[in-house]
Amino acid sequence: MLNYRLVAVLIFLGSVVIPLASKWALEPQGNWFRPFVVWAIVVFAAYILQRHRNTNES
Amino acid sequence: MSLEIATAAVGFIVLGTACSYLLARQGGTISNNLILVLALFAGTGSLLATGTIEMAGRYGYSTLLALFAFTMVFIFSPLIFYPIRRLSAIIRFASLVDFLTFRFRGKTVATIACSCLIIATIPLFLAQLLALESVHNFLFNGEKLLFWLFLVLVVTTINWRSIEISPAQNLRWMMAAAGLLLLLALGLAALVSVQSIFGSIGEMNSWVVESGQRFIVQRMDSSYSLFIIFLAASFALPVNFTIVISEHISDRQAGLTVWAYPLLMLLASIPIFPLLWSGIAVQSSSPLQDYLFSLPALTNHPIVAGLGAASIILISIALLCSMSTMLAKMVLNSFILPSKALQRQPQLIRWINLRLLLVSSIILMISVLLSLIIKEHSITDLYLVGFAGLAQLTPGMLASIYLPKANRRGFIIGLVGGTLVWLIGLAVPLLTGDWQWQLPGTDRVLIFGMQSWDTWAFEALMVNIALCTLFSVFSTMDKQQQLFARLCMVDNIYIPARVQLSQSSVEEMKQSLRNALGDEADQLVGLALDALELDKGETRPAALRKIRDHINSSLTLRFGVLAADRIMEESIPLAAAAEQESDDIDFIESVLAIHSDRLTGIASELNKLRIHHREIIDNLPVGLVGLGQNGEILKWNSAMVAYTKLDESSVRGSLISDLPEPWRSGINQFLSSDSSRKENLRLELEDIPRWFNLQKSADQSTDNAFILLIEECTNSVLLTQNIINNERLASVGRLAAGVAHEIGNPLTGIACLAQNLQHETEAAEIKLSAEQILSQTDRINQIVQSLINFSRGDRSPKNALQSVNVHDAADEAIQLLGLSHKKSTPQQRQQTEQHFICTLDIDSYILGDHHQLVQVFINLLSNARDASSENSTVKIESEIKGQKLTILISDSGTGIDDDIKDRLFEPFVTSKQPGEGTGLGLWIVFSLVKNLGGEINLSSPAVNSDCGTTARLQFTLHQNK
Repeated sequence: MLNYRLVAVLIFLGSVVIPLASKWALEPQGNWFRPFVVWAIVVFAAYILQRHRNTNES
Repeated sequence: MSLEIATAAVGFIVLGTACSYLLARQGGTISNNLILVLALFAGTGSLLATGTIEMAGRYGYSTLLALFAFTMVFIFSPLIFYPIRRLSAIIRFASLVDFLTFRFRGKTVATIACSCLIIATIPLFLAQLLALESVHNFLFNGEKLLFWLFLVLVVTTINWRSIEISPAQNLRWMMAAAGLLLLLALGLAALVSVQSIFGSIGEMNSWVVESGQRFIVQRMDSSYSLFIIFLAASFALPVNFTIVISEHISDRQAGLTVWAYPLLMLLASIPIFPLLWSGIAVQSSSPLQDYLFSLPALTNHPIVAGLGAASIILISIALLCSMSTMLAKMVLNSFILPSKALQRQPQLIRWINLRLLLVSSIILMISVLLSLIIKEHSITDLYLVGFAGLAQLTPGMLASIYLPKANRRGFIIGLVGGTLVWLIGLAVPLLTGDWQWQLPGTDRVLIFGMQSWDTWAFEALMVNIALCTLFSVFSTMDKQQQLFARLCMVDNIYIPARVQLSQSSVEEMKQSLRNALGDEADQLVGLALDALELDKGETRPAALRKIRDHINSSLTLRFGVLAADRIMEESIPLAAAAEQESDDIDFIESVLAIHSDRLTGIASELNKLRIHHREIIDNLPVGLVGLGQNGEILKWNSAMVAYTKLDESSVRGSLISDLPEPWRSGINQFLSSDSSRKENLRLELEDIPRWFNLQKSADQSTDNAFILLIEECTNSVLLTQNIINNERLASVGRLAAGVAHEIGNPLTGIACLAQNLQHETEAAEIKLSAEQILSQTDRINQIVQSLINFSRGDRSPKNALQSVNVHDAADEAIQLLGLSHKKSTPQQRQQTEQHFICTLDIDSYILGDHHQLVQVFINLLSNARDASSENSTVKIESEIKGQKLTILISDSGTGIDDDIKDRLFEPFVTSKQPGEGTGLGLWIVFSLVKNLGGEINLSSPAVNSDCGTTARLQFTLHQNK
């Protein structure tokens, strides 16, 4: 069965978040470690989502 | 310096492995989780320690994107690994090849998938060997042959040790140690290099801007190809699959990898660029892939350089060991075990272990030989080629869980096509060097090799996907493929069919397995019984199916899908009619109960409806039994639990013929009859008779399952019996009333004659007799009146009742008994009075009728006297508790026969010889006592005695006015 919430999240990520994050991370005047900040945010988001999933399952 | 670095490296290797070993020995959640994540992290091998710095120099930030893509397999593991993990709870997959074989079926699939995976993994082996060689060259620059021999010896020794004990546990802590050392080495190497070369991080930042490196690293050449290939390779990387799926880590641990693995990769990625810039700034002559130890050595930090060298050595050796054993396992499962007669092999496990060691050593030797003849290529090149090869397994893997139409032909042709393109475009040029070919008739030149890495890697993947799609669309799937395609779907839950087995007990299964596996069978069955918490005497079909599934799962993990399938088909085959059987409804219910919180929308509403219907069935006031085709009990509701005292969990899944008596015979007889209904089936449950109505579904469904309804009707049957008894009593009452009416007239005459006699004689004896006649006729009159009242069903009017002295009534009854014709002389009368010992309270009164009470005493005392021997006594005692008076009349006679105990108060029931008693005495007593508002019961033997009888009368005391 199609998971509408997941599809909506992926569309949002693909059309809004990723382009904006890429643009910010690769800005010519930006610091070299900006891509790592984006990566760290993704890790944090994964941690929050996983904690949420664990709470639901327990 | 070299010696210092080498010493430090050895020290760190010893220290790292010791720490990791102690952590593994200590156990506990945190330790286990830490080891798991670090081992996974180390699964990338020497890529992070060596290759990524060169990649960063070559592709800039595209390297970060590639590494990030490599972690995405874990971020999105709920979409990729979780469906396979869910299936692996039922079928344990030892490797990705086993999973693909399970999905696409057939030995061809196993052979081709295994071959492609081994070929694709060889460049990764070469990369590890190259990394080790570079460390060796940096430290010693000595004899290479000795170095290779030493390396092969070390890896083989570790492999043998880990194969003998447990590859998963042993290699995991070793890899964890490597991962830990790598993280420390990267961090410290970057720190000391930046400090020594730039002075501070701020200085480095300024240099990055001034030197233009900021713009250089921001280029995104080949970013798309790198992203796709690294992402695809991470799916098929043997280490990832083995740890996350084969080793059966817990769901919590799998959840931990979602964020912990990307976090470690992030931490390992941050030092890459500072190390790169440090090397560029200092204009180091050493290759980029050696920066982890060469830069600290250059800046005079031998300890840190030693740490870097140690991390590379340990991580490379750990990956060589783990990957060679994994590949050896795949080779055994795909090529050797499927056709091996395992039962003929004594010491099977040792035989398998030796083959594992042999195959892993051969793979290692081939890799070493290839590394000797390989052209000059960097570790980065080898990783890029290896990952492009591994990526060829990914379309099949994703199609397995997302595309039910993907079939064997499509998978095989796609994989072979993609791998061929990869071999020609990338793998072979690793050995031969890059070469060119001009397309005939055009001016276009094809470049084979690393110069066109991104093109060939991407095109190989596209060819694979295109061929797989094309052949899957235009070819058909057989039923077996369709079944397994459905099983592997991402949203599918494995529901075992309710199949019938050829064996009907655990012992039979074990015996049959012995023929295929020898002594291993006992261990397998024992493990299954322990895991499922079942008894070895188990015979329930549902339990046997679970045992079979567990054995199948264990066999798949040990010997692969093909060998397990063969063993199961030979040893524990399914019965012929298995295909017609329906799914295990009970299992579906249990799965829905566990996952109900995940259901949304209409599925959630349907689940609520299911729960509602289930509750209705469970709470039905009648028993409901659902039966399968072979008489297996599928449903057993709460009413049945109440009737039978058999718990649902113990009954469900067993055969109806396995039920305890008397249910078994009762239900089986009904099921074997043609009738769809049976009424008033009498069953003795705990020595108490109970009656049941049985009904079975007349219209049987397609799979011959039917419903059995069982309703208790004990109360109804007892009520009917009471009505019949009452009707009988009523008819007797009407008869008695008629008789009483007829007795009335002659009785009046007798009374008149007695009165005349009394008045006409002077003899005292005759006067006394006349008086007694009058008294007796009066009593007869009272009895007649009682009979009439009893037959009418009403009691004496309340206003006719008066206080009656119980002692006087008993005394009078004793006197009257003395007038019986057998004992009419005064002496005999005296003896009779002495025969009865009356200790009744003289001041006890009850509300009632004196004559009726006297009649009660007369009947009870005469019965007691008749039952007693000549010299025995009859005791008349009383007990007073509150307002309750209990009169006990006990004799020491013969007692009451068991066969009439329950019917004593019925009319015409007597233990006396014909002609001696009418059987109406106790019936009259019963009716009179009821009429007086009292209770009566008889117990035999008598109270505080081992013989005789005690009649217990209970009345409410009344205040005498």
